[in-house]
Amino acid sequence: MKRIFAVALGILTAIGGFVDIGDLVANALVGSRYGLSLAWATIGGIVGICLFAEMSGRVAAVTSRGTFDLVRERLGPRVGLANLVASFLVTMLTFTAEIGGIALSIELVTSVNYLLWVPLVALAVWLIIWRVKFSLLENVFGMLGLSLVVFAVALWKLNPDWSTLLHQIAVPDKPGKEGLLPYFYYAIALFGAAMTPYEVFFFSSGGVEERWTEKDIRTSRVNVFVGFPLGGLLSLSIAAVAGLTLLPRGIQVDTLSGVGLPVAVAVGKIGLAVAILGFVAATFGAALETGLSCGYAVSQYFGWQWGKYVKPRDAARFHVVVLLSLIAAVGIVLTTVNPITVTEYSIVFSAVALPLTYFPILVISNDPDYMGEKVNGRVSNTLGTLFLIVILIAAIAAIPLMLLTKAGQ
Amino acid sequence: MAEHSAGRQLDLHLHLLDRQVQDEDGRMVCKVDDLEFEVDATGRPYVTAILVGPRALGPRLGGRLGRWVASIAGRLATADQAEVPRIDFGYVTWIGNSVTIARHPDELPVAPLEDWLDRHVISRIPGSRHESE
Amino acid sequence: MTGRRIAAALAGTLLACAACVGPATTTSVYRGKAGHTAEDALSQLETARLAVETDRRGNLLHASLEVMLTEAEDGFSSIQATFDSIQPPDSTEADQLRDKLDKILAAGSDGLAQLRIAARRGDSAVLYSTSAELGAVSEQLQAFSDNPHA
Repeated sequence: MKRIFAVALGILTAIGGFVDIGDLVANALVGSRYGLSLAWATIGGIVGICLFAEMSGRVAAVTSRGTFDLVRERLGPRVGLANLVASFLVTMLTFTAEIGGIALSIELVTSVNYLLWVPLVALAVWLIIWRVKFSLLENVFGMLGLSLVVFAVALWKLNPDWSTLLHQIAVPDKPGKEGLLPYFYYAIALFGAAMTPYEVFFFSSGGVEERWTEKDIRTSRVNVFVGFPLGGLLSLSIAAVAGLTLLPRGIQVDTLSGVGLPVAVAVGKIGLAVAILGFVAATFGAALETGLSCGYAVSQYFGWQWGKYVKPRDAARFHVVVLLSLIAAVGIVLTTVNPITVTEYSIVFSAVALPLTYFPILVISNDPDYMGEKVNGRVSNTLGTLFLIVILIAAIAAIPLMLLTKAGQ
Repeated sequence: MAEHSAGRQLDLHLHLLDRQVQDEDGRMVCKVDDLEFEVDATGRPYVTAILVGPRALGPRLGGRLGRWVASIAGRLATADQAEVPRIDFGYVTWIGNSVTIARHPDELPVAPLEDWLDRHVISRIPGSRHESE
Repeated sequence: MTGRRIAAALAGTLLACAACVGPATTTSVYRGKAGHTAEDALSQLETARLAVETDRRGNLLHASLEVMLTEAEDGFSSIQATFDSIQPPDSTEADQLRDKLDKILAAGSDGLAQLRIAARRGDSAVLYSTSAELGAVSEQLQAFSDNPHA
């Protein structure tokens, strides 16, 4: 019984924790502009993250080491450092976006300007990272994130023509007026939003925090292969409701309020309130994850003791890195730069950094020296290599497309 | 010098450099940033210590970046840290997918930044003595 | 060393694109920009109107309504300001395009300001009636973006 409860908790947490500010903004924006005709990119991203999360979870369970720890060993200090710098900067940018997202969510329900919430939010984020047990943190925010199921409810209440929706998903076709370049730019953005680099090193470091062993591989797999796709369905719902309510009126989502508007239209005040709770949970949870990931990445490269599973005094450098990252993120948000713009950039740069993160994981999870018998099977390897090629293409195309389309206009 | 298992050949690059060093309780100590060699009576080199820290890692990063890292670290080092921090290879008890040593991290002078931050920053924040509840 | 040159070129391109509101060189280019402006402005206006309609049906939290209206108004004025800062090419048609769109945009931004004020005052009657009137501006923007002409 306890086992079933643990598994259920894991799945629910995975569903609720799947979405972050990048997914919210990207899916709503794309939905309001393209309906579900870019669903293939979201689905592709979901398959990708499942694949690589499974690998990195397995690596953590077998080696009890985090990803960056192993990256330096396998790729050498120079390449490892380049990887660290790129990944750290992207994660910092994402961290900044999440903090902005939390503040925007609170603004949405209080109408008090988001900037005023930032210091409070920063303090809350830091306190929770400092004091709250890792598993509690994950479970609480994961469960609260389930509020985003209201998007699926909204979709159902809108009573759409399901066959049309399915047709849009199955037969990708861009709406007539739209250009081809922005279409692929947004495909890459959706990919970057679904497969953000930090998720992978957070997942593997989290496995070490929770002291996973080989026995936990199966649970981790269930969480990933059941939880993540269900979480991905939420992403698709966000896009679908935006397409159904906003697209016909020529509205393109460019604010967090716009992400929630379809839910208000379909479900009313309570629905919107639940959605906002979901926004807060998703962005707050992701802020904790990205903040910790900043610490994990740097500490693991240099071999410092890291993690919440030890006394802060025993991981002083780790906690200082997290604190400094938080201060930097807050500083950026307080320059009044539009948090949605920061989110959009963080997604695109995530797409660029994807090969750096995923290539080492593929290599390490294939290495019998680390993994013993638990190396990748044929399926993982084939799919993994395939994805790596796709990711590489996306990474190379991302910045040129961003420049050519002026970030999707 | 501890012999790990008789006759096992190790590729230094593959099995030793950049590996995580941990103590016998699994606590993380540092990375093998570089190795120190001496030459024995017959002229063969052997590993005498693990070198740790930016002054050890800098040269391995190579190029201008590496020299810059090493020189800054050198300037920041205080008088009692005149030498590059090292762990005597005699403390090594196991070389597997990480390197295990028979000393507690606190006993080794390899993490001056950690000690400094611990004393001046972290321990001043309430709650730093306990793992998260 | 070539790496550095490439980086500099890339940085230059990025900066240039970031400031991309240069002069429109020909009337057709200007027409295109005007059309896009109308499209973007329509998005802001319709967001505000949809928010008001949703509020009318009792489906929107008041705080969220205020946030949406403020954001729509800010977005709209920023789009308007960007358009006005574009140097039009030297042709009568361009000037006429500019005048026509400016008139529509002015009506839009006035309306949005009124919506914001009415919402903050809690004046539902004015809120709903203004939103209904703004329907005409929406239609004009839609027509303009479909076929920008003087």
